[in-house]
Amino acid sequence: MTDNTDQYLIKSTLKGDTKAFASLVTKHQNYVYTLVIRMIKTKEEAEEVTQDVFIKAYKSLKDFKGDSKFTTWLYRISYRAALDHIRKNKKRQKTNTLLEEITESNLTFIENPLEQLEDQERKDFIKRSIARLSESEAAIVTLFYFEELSIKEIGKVTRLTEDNVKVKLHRSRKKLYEFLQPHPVVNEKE
Amino acid sequence: MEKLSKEQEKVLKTALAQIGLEKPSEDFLSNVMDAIEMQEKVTTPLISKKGWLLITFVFALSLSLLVFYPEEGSVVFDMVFSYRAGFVEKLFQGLEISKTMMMGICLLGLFLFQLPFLIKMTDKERSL
Repeated sequence: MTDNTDQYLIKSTLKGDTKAFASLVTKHQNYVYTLVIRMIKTKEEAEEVTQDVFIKAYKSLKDFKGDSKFTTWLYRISYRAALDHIRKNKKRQKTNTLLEEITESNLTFIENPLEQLEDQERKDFIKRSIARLSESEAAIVTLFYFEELSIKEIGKVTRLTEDNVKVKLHRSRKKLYEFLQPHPVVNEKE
Repeated sequence: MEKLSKEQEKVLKTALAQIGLEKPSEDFLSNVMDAIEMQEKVTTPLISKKGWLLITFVFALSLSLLVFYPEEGSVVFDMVFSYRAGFVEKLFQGLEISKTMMMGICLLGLFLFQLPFLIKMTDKERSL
């Protein structure tokens, strides 16, 4: 067993090695954060919820039986935590908070500022389009395209039947494609 | 609702591939580990499981002795008391403790008694 497999890291964590859990966090933080921010839509809150997800995962690690993949188990905690957070804070978040600022440090490395700005605009537009989806649609699209989960695994995460996931995924794809269509920058890049 | 064509699916995939994964802030990992460390401290019980087992065992033993040997003058108790009485007498024979010393011992005892409660209280305040 290699030193960085999830199984090895889980065993080490359960033996009291907190560094092993730190490795697990490093390995999965971007995936969990992406799922959470796509659902919650604001950076600060998404980071807070992602932190809570890892703390909860640490506490419940002993209950992880290994029946499913560790990532499926972790995404299920993330999905539930994000939904709970949304229910608690019912006021909808403004989608424009997703706009990322180009920081001063980034600007120093930009060789072609115009191209960089266009690229940034394109990315922001795609992110805003995803943000227009409902939280469950955004979650399903993220799990399918970004986390590359199968329909069966998405069903386990969201506790939906496979048929239900298929229908929801189809609708979300169609919606997202329609949202992306009017903007020329998305098609330019093809 | 119509299905997406292969071309449309390709456009969607290409668009989504451009944005990739989001990244949390640089100090995310240290924040998580700090929070876990803090919770570990707070949730560590003052008396461990072994400690509670020992306390339960001693309590059960004392209770059963009281139930099964209730009468005064039982051989077992006589042996224990006679040994303890002689031992204590010998230990403190000729020892004189001043009032100040006694007060000091009492205050130290009080401090030691309060210590676990103080630790618990400060840990709770830190976690808030």
